[in-house]
Amino acid sequence: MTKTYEEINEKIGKGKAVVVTAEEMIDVVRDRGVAAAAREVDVVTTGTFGPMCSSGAVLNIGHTTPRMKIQRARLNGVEAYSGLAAVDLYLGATQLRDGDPRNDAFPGRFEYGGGHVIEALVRGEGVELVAESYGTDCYPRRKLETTLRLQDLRDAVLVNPRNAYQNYNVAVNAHGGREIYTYLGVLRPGLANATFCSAGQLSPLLNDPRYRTIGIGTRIFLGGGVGYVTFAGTQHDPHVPRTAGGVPTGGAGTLMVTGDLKGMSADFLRGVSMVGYGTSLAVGIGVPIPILDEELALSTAVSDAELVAPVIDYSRDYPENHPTPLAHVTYADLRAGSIEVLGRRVPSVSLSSYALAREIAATLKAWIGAGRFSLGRPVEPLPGARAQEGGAS
Amino acid sequence: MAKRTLNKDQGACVECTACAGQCRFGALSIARPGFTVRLDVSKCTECGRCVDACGYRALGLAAGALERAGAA
Repeated sequence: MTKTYEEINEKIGKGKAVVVTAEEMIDVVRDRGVAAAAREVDVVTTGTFGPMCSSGAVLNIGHTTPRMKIQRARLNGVEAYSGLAAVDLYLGATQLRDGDPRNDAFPGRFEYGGGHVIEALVRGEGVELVAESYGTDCYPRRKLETTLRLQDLRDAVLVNPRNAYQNYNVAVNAHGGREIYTYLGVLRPGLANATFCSAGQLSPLLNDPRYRTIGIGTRIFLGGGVGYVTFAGTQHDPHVPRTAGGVPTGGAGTLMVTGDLKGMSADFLRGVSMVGYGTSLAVGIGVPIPILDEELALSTAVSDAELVAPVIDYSRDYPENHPTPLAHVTYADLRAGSIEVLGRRVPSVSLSSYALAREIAATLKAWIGAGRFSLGRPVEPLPGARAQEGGAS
Repeated sequence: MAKRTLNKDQGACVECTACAGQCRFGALSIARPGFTVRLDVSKCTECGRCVDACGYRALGLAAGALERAGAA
């Protein structure tokens, strides 16, 4: 029994598509079997929400009178890259506000950065732009100070080079003599705590581990609005060792995503301040997976008990770029609150929000169920895994 | 020592649970199966570790009722 994108989209258009979340699909396959699930379910929705540092926004402020070719620009004191055409800017999530003391007084607070500016724009708040230039015959203006709101911008596009990592490290502090401050949170010495950052069984690429349906052109939930997968994300690596079920056992595939910032919500785009580390942007992403056949029914029924992540020491091994796993642990154990590492029980907590991941998957389910979100067939697949690695196609 | 009270800004909180991982006293814990953050201020020792751990500035230690009343 197979289905096509066209058949599923026709059912979505008629309001007759059967849509379940990736959590619900676990029960459907367990109760009804893979074959029945493949017949009866049309779409499985996924979700994830967490800090995704490789994120930012392309902002076109519109031409000024007289015209200006911006050479340097700051938005609420945060530098935006302006080495583009005259009034195009790229505001990165981790760019810090000028004058931030960084880690001079360790650990730094990192109160405000590019991610916070993006959140402010999406909230509809005014953002102060200060721009400078050297002036040319065709772009004579040299200085601009103004307040911008999202609706004032000619174009505002979220352009995130690497989001939605397919699996990720569990961080611990195994060798440090003090607390360490990382992008995976505050880690106490002596394996006192562990942090992780994946939605596990709800995570998009863990439900389509061989990238059969998530590819270039896939339409997605992005930051509360509609976006697209525009390419493989930077550092996309499909060749990470996989389980017998074909699921990577560590960080593997990634997505480059894009969407109109004007359609997004601050509920799903949030500036983040990580003590001792820096700023970021927490991004909400949901990807629909069409159930074209039994293989996809099976892969979308994967549960936290079947998904493993590597435990990495962030006090020595990660910074020295020798991230040899101390252990592999299941997301079921991580989510339950403790894992075993080197013979010790270590409490574990998530840095991504499972509650919001659920909300995203449920929202996407509602959009599709209401016929207002159809599936985009990828125009190209993401680079895939070699056949010899865990049976991936 | 002035009494302070741990406040959680529900609008700012994304329920990531990072704060619960820093609390050694049970004041912040994970409510399952919803995976939301549960706050019990009666167990809070005002250590402030959770405030540092929150990337969303959803937690703060503010002057409590006694201090505001000038009785602390």
